[in-house]
Amino acid sequence: MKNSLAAILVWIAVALLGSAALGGIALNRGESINALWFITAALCVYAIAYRFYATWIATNVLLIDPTRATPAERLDNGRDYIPTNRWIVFGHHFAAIAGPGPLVGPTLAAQFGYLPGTLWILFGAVLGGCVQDMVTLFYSTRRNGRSLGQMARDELGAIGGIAALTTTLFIMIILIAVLGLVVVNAMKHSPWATSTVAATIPIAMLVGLYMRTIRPGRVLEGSLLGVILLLLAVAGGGWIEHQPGLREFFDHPGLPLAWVVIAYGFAAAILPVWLLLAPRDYLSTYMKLGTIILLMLAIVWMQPSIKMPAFTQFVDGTGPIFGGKLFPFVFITIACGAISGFHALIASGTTPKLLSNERDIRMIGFGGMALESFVAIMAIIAATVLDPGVFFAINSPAGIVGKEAADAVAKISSWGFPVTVAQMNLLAQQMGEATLFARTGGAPSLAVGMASIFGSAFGQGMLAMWYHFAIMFEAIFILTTLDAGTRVGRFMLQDMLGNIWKPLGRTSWYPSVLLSSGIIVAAWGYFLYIGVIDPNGGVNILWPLFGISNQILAAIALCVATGILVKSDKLKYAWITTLPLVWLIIITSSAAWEKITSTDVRIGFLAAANDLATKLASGLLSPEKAAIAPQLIFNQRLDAVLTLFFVCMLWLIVFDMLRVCIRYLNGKPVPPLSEVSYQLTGMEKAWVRD
Amino acid sequence: MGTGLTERSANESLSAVNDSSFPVFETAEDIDQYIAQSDTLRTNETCIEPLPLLSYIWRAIRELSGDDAYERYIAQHAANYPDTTPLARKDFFLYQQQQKWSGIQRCC
Repeated sequence: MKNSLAAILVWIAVALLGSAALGGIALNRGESINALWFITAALCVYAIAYRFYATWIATNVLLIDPTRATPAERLDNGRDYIPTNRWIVFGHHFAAIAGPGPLVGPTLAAQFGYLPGTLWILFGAVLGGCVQDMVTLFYSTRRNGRSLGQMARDELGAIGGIAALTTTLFIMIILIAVLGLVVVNAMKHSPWATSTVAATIPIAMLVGLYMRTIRPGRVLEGSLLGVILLLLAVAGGGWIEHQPGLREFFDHPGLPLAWVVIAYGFAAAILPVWLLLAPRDYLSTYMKLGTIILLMLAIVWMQPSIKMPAFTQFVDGTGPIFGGKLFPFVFITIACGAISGFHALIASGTTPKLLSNERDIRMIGFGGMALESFVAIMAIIAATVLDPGVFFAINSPAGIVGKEAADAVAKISSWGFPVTVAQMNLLAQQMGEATLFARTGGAPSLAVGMASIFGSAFGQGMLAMWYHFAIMFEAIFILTTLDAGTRVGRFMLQDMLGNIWKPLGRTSWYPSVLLSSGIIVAAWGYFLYIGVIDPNGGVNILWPLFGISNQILAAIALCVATGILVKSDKLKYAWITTLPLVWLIIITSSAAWEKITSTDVRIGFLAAANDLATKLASGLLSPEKAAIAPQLIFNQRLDAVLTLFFVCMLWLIVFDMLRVCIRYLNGKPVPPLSEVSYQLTGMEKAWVRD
Repeated sequence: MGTGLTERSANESLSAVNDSSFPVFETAEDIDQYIAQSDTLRTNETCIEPLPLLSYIWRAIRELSGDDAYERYIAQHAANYPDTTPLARKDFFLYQQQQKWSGIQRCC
């Protein structure tokens, strides 16, 4: 009795603190606001959602059953099905879901001010993303760890399965292209960043050889070696920066770097995994976890001030980083960190095969996503602690603010965000860069933000080192996503091609490997190439496309979950998935509508294509712009078609889900539930639990 | 495999161990050596006792990184398939990585 009273009081206190922090953030219109408020608000929201909403879903909706044997227990083979301690599963799951997305999206969305992004990250996560991850993990666990595509086919029918599969493949392509673009924008004309990122490749190979031949399977030893070498590479890049003759070797504009990234992607896809992909992933995982913890400690310790206003005038759609109004574009720009369809692929992949007990689903599914959302909150803090003028100078493409520094600062200052050339030069010099103008993509401004937080926490003398550490840290796991994504795309393509001609489906047949890898790399390479030559910064085009496709994948996952809920006679609880689903349908459809039909050339793909075509025809373009105009025009039209395709996929699966639900409710035959039957767990060994 | 590991030697080695002491084999020699040492090894075994905090953390780090994956595999193998030869460490590591990167492992 005493305990429960204490618990009630504690939760009331958490609720009050959370509302005070949220209210403070939302209503503050002063000069600046302490970042600690963001951390407090976020932690309180997650805690309350986890304790009450997630628990309620687990016990009342999903009916999680701790006495039921999980696939890991029933099918334990010591290889892919392994009952694992829940903290370990949590670690694996989090490392898998948290990529560069939650760092880049919030940084770009900071052009609307700090408030819209923050609120969407918090409430999108607890009502949408966390629910999606948890429910998908649960249903996959009840189906021996089947994938989202398989579940869509089993539970809804062939149409659902095909829609899930093709959307996944397209997202992968757009995702890799946009991440490649982020890396290229961080490396262009920066010998330090380029040489450091280049050094990560031989370092990863060295670690791969170590783990393969010198000390097989000694993951920790190999990783420690690699991490030390990476830190040396960051320092070594600084040395190269100051070596005339050597620095030119790493000083390149965007286009050659894009070709290198494309060639690298192809090589990585056909090399054996032990040589490059696997060791790089070990390194990137440690770097990622280490940096996130460090950033959190530094923010709590330094309590930096947020200098961006709550809202900027760019909510009207005139933003320099990407065009489009607050609604729906903030919800498209921040996908990862609020709700990300990609997670459904992880939650229906490895994780369900490791769970030792169903009761861990709440912590891993819901908790894992809450933690990723927290990473997104830290990214938004790191972006908004910069002076807004500096933030816009770094992130605005040259096509918007002008190529010359003086033009750019004049333009940005005229928006009410004062910044000077001297200030930008000093900052560039402190960060060890020639210039920080027009580095669209989020990575450099995040790195400057992180460097200034780390710098104030651990000493200003190291700013340039911190900046390049942050660039290296982002590049290394972006490249991991790029390698891994290309491989997965290749497998999916081979799977499809195998239906046309059998040998093409054999994943070990070398000609098929080369062909399918080539097709996937060419597909994302094309979007990367266009993104680099586009003077308005390809991020403006690619990021919304990625956001739309990722949210549509989330909608597909929620459709599958809703279908299963209805077929399990839980119609009255179906709102837990339909609520985020309806929201996703609204935002993706309206964003797609705007991207296709808007007459604003910065928003509408077709408007931009037509505008450029008219200018080209009337000879208004400079010769260099006229040379690339036909490609840009074609690309804008292609993007419009792609967007239309994504939305059609979405509506197709939504109607398919509704069809199955209505048939079920009317007592007509539907595909039966594919849940595996109950088996009592025999596993209460202490070591499996914590 | 390919290290000249015979079923007989593997079986002997595995019947010599049980639940908690996980042998690690690089080669067939390792297995022979293990059999020779198995008595001393067993007396040193403390794995199943409640762990002090530091070794608990160390164990978590090893498990999370996959450093002890082979040891866990051998233990699991010994318990469930005592009649067959387990993979050698190197082969297991290669197999495991190949398996891991055949599916979606990393997100955006």
